[in-house]
Amino acid sequence: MSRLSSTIDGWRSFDSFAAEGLISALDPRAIILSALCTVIAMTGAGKGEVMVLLPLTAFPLTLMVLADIPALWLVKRILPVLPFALMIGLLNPWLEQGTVTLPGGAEISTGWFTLSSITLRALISAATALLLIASVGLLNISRGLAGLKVPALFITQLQMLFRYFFVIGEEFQRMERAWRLRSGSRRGRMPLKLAAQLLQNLFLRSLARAGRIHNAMLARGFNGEVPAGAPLHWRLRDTLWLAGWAGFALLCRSNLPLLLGTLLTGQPQ
Amino acid sequence: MSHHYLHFNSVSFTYPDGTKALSEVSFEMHHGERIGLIGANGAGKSTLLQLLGGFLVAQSGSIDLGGLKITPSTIAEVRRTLGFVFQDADDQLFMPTVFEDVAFGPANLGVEEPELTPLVLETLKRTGIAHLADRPPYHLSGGQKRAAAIATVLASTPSMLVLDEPANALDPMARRRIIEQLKGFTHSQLIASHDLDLVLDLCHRVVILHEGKVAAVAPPMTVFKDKELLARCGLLPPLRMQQLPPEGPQLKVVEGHHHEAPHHHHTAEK
Repeated sequence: MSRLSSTIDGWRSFDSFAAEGLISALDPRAIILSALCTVIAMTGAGKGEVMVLLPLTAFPLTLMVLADIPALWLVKRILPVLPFALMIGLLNPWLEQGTVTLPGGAEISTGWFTLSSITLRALISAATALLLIASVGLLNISRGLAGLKVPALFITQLQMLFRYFFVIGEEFQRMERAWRLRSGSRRGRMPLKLAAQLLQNLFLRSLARAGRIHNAMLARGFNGEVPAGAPLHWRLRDTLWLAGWAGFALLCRSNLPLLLGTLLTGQPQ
Repeated sequence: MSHHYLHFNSVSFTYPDGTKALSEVSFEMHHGERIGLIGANGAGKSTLLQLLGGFLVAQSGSIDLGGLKITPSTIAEVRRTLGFVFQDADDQLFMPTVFEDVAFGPANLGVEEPELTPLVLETLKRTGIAHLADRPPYHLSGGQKRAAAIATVLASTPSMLVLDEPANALDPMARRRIIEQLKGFTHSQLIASHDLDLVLDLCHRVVILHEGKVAAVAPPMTVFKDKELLARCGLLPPLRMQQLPPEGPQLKVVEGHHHEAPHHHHTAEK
């Protein structure tokens, strides 16, 4: 099995952690809103404010621990984001004019902070999104979004997109297996020309399969909205969870490391 | 009015590319009856099922489901009445867990908690897969997927089951279980299949389609004994009705081992 094919297999168990851990005891709305607080705090930070961003990693890490998600699982899935983030900020250390003096007296370009900030933002965003789906489950996220009065059209689109990703993945696996079985002595990567031809076929096949799945949904009364399931119940623990993370995001927005430094030294930083 | 009654009345359908798939197809299915829909590839079985599900609309003739004509305006009610089990169970199972997949149909029909969960659990129990409730469908075996696909349909309490190749790609034990399960249901059932042994086991009557037309409607034994009809429609009798060679395989004993002679295949050791 190729690496891409086994990656697709790995993604299929994406929300299998949803039924486990303490996270499943919380109302999905509380988790979605707390993730939103984290994202808002993150986007509000200045372009080179690495120290403001660092504490925000606490949110995805908490989700990971409470949902019993292995760290390696997360690392394997967010690492692909890293090259994109690096590509965006790679030239900043050379392009930015400003310098910062480090405690030892050495001067470095402010671009290094921008690069770190971009990378950190990408990692926090990817980790939060992945862990949100992995720990809460797409169905519960949909219920939560419906409970937050997000338009049904948007929720259905989200679910269909998620499902279509796997339909494409499954069709790719079948085609790739067929190619491997008949590729004779040719090993390793598929020739680019053939890959392009298969890509065209892949979309036609996945579209046909998506049509069959849609028919199966229609046959079972699907009318454009995936049923929300059992009603949600907001409890005291959900209020505490949300209040805690909203407060923490607010603190981070006010530069938590700076506040801690002031508190510890008694001197304005 | 019973929703268990089905009447195809001179139904014709031609695809946009000009392929005539069905021509003047007529037959009836009565309350509690199991009908086998058979025919060679391209005979029109899939088109007929698609018309029944409202995925295609007949250009002429009518389909009557317990007094309800199948038209675009009645399709929602038709789908409440029919339970469709598709050929590929992977196309039918799309929710994260078996439980949620089985709950999908009744929830769409307006069943809410606290009725929904007991209904789903009861259906899972009835189809023998209660222990799989929390499993993701793609982790199931072929037989389990098929049972789950049937459960997703039964949970919506349909009056009639429409099954496309219900024993497709199942091992002999799983196939036998599905046959016994279908025998146990009181629903009227329309079963499209190339598995003629299954049709012989299950069905009260058989509709043979040939080149988009109904070639015969009769009890399975009558149809399967008519070799001329079967040959004309590109079919063979069920395996158990095919004549076996008069002799079993020839066995030679070579240095204490049994070797089966290559030109005999069908019978037990002599």
